[in-house]
Amino acid sequence: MSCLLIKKMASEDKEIFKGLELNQKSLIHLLHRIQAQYGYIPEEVVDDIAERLKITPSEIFGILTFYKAFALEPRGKHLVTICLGTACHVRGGRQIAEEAERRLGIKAGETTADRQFTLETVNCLGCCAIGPVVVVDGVYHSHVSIDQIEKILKKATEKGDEKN
Amino acid sequence: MKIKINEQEIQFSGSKTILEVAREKGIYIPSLCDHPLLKPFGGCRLCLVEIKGVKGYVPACSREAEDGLEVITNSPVLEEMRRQTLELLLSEHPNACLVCREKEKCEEHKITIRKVDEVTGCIFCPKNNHCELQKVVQYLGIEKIRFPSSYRGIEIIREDPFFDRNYNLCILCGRCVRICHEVRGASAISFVFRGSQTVIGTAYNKPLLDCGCQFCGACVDVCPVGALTERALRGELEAEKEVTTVCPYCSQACLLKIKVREERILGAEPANLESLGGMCVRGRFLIRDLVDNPYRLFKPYLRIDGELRETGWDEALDYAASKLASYSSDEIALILSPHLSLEDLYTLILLAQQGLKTNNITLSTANDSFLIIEKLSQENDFYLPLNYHPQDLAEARCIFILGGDLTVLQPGLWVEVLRAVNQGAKLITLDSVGRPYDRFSTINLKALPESWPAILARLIELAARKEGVFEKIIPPFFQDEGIKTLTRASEAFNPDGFEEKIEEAFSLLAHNKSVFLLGPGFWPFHRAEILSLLLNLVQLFEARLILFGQESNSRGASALLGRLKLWPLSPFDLNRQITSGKIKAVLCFGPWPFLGPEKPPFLLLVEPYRNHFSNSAEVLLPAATILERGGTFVASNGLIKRFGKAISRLNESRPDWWIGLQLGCRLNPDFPIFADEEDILRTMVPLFPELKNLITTDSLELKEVLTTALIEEKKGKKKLINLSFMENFFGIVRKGVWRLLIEFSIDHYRSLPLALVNRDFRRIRLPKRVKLHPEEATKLRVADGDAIKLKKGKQSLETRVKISSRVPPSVLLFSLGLAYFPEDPASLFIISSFSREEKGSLIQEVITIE
Ligand code: SF4
Ligand code: SF4
Ligand code: SF4
Ligand code: FES
Ligand code: FES
Repeated sequence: MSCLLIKKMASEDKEIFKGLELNQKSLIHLLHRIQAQYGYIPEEVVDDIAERLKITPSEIFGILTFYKAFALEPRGKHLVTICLGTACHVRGGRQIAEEAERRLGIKAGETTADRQFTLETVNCLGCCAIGPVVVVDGVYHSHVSIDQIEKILKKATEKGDEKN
Repeated sequence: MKIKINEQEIQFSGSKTILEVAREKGIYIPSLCDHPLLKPFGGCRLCLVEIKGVKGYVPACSREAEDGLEVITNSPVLEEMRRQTLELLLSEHPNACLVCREKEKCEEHKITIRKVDEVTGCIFCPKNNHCELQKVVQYLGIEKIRFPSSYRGIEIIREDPFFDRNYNLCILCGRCVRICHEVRGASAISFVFRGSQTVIGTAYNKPLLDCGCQFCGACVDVCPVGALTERALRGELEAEKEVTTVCPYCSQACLLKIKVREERILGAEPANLESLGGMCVRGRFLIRDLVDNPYRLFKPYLRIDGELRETGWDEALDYAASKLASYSSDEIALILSPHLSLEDLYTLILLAQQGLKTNNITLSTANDSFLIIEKLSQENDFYLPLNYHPQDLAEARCIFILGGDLTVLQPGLWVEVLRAVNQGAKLITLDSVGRPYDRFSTINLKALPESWPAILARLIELAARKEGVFEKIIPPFFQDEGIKTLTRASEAFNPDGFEEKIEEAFSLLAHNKSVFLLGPGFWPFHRAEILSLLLNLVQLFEARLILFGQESNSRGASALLGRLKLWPLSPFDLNRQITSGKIKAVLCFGPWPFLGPEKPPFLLLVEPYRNHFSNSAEVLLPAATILERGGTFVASNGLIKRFGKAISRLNESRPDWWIGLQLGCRLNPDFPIFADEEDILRTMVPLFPELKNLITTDSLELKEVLTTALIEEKKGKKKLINLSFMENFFGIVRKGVWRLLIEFSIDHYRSLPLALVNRDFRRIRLPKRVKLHPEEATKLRVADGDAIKLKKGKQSLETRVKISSRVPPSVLLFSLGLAYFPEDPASLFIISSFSREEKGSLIQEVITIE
């Protein structure tokens, strides 16, 4: 995204700031909105948000990197999250993650070159009973085994295409 | 109130944490994240204690001591817990030396030194022997670490000015982040990432230079370990002694602890908590440069056959005295610097009056604000207290800042303002340039300096109407239309309603206990007018006035001249008299910013440094810097501070008072003789009774800074000044598109611009750049660092661009200080871009950019 476009977004997109008080309390909320709209938090908007919310870019960066929900880099169209919490781990979560890495040709935390997939690992999603858990674009897959990965990934692209 | 710590009963008063009470009593509780300037954090968990009747363990740093508490600090369980915590911490910190069995003998025998490198040990750590982690390890007697060690392998950050950041040594105590945020209000650094990845960093890892860092060094000074270290100290041996003295740069007069080895200054640190919170980059990192730099003069020089030749003191003084004796008294003038001590100033005034029989004295600051107030209050017979205590700011509910960047010019005051703002005080700013503290302020009035008088007058108008004194001080000229019409010029800068903002500011000021903070950075030609306006405001709102960003002894120089009723020549008068040949001999003890092209036939320079004028001088005498001899300053808050020398290494340089005395004796056989500074102070007592307490018996070895005396202020009554001078006041007439704006800096000591001698400082201040609004830069197609050429008539100036969104559109912002003016083409260009006043206004020439 070009710098100018982002400038435009941050300063003119009323939607993004709508209903928010311009102070530090709104930061997390605002970051969620930007993340939802652009898939990540572009570096260029941070200065602008800082000025409006009367905080410093370093403070924003601290918050930004604290929460997994915010991405520093553009994410792919599809987000694959694989749980490596204790419960999932003992049931093969690590192998599942490795399989996904192999199939997508990227490491956890990265995005494929075609911007289709972003792969992430987390520590526990709070539903240990149904582990190993893989979440694709918000859809939870339970008791996942290695051989299911191919299908799960394929389904994601098909679904995405249907939508378009 | 009473608490029991380890069975020992302890009395205490006020609101304190358990840790503070214990510390006062000398009971040691290990702690790493706590710091007296910071709010409790509870991060390191080393200070855990047991409290009778309370379940679990409580951090002593975060728990307030209540009457009757019974606290245990050293049970075996606690010690074991602490040991575990510390071992965990050490597993990520280089620890080979910390737990080394040979530790004790290491210093002496260096048995193990070769086996341990920086990555794993303390030997090369700059904090070795001063490290708080070492202390805690020793207290807990850790000999082995039960967790696997890991080295974080983070790249050391060396690209910023003045200090390096090695986060491999960081224990994440958060002190640096907290002092930057809580005390300095800069928030340049944060905790970034989380869990085991957590580090201290900036937004997107940018250099501190781009993150609003003030380079105050407060983070360096609170870091308990060696993660943050001053680069200039790398490779230096330990200091042999530390001398407490006063910072010579500004009128905050921070107390410094100067580190000395072999009569060489290694560096300076804050000497107390107040300085730790409030120091600035000049005092923290530029003390050494004041003494050691290639511009120092160490020998007297005489011009012989057109060339400067080295000579001896006697010869130089005899020659100077005989030359001076050949001029009549009104052909001679003296220029003094507010960086001179009271002792110097007094002797030099005596030299003028008794040696040279002249009252032609001026200050290099020309229109010194303290002096103008001194004069206005004597003329109008009113009382305006300028002395202040931290309390005055703490109790203020509304603070009005104008005249420069407070965080740059005198951050010690900013720190107090921030504290008040955090407690609910409202901040109003009047400025032409965006300031880092705009984000803390309720009202930002943005206007070019030529409109400031109108804005202040408008506030006076509103107040005067309310008080019923409107007719008395507002001249008939304004009474129909009101001054409102004059403030229209500023509407363009304040899209959301300027008049409303002024009215809002008025109501804040009228209903709250207020303080005005005035810096030097307003248009220098209207200082007296702006001060008169402020004096009215201060009286109408029953507010306080505090002047900031003045030179170290500005207050002292003004008090001295004021008590003697010696009102300095204006720099223009002086120049005019030199040009017309009326003044033929000038003795110059400071920078001389407003000098025109004509030099006087006889110029005597007394300076620690060579400067631009050295080439025109007949006689050049090497003055000692204040650090080599000590002296007495009056800080801006009125506190008189007497201090000793930091190093004794005069070479051939001499204190200014000694030079004045030598000349005086040669010119007048009855000139008073002073043996030392003590002697001068004693003579000054009739004029300055406040000095009496500062005269000690063993003068030569002044080890501590004496600060017992406060300058006395004359009592008077309330008196408003009529604004009739405003009728002729129209600010600046601008002809072209561009408006030149000057950011007034005080980054100099006498005639030495600090940016000249320190590269890192140049990177912060960028003294040679012209600052531009981003949109203007886009229009001109220039980027940061690009060269542009400014033209005005036949004159032109090549300079580089710095883009900054703080600058208003269509403005060219230059930074300029007294010591910069003549030697820098930019100064000449800027000064000559304004033609002289015409009906109270200045005309700015047309400037074009290529
Ligand atoms: S030097 Fe001062 S402003 Fe800069 S990061 Fe450290 S504490 Fe903050
Ligand atoms: S750099 Fe120093 S002060 Fe800052 S968190 Fe690390 S150890 Fe603490
Ligand atoms: S220049 Fe002023 S603020 Fe800075 S350290 Fe010196 S006295 Fe303190
Ligand atoms: S461990 Fe995977 S959901 Fe809790
Ligand atoms: S000093 Fe109390 S937790 Fe660190």
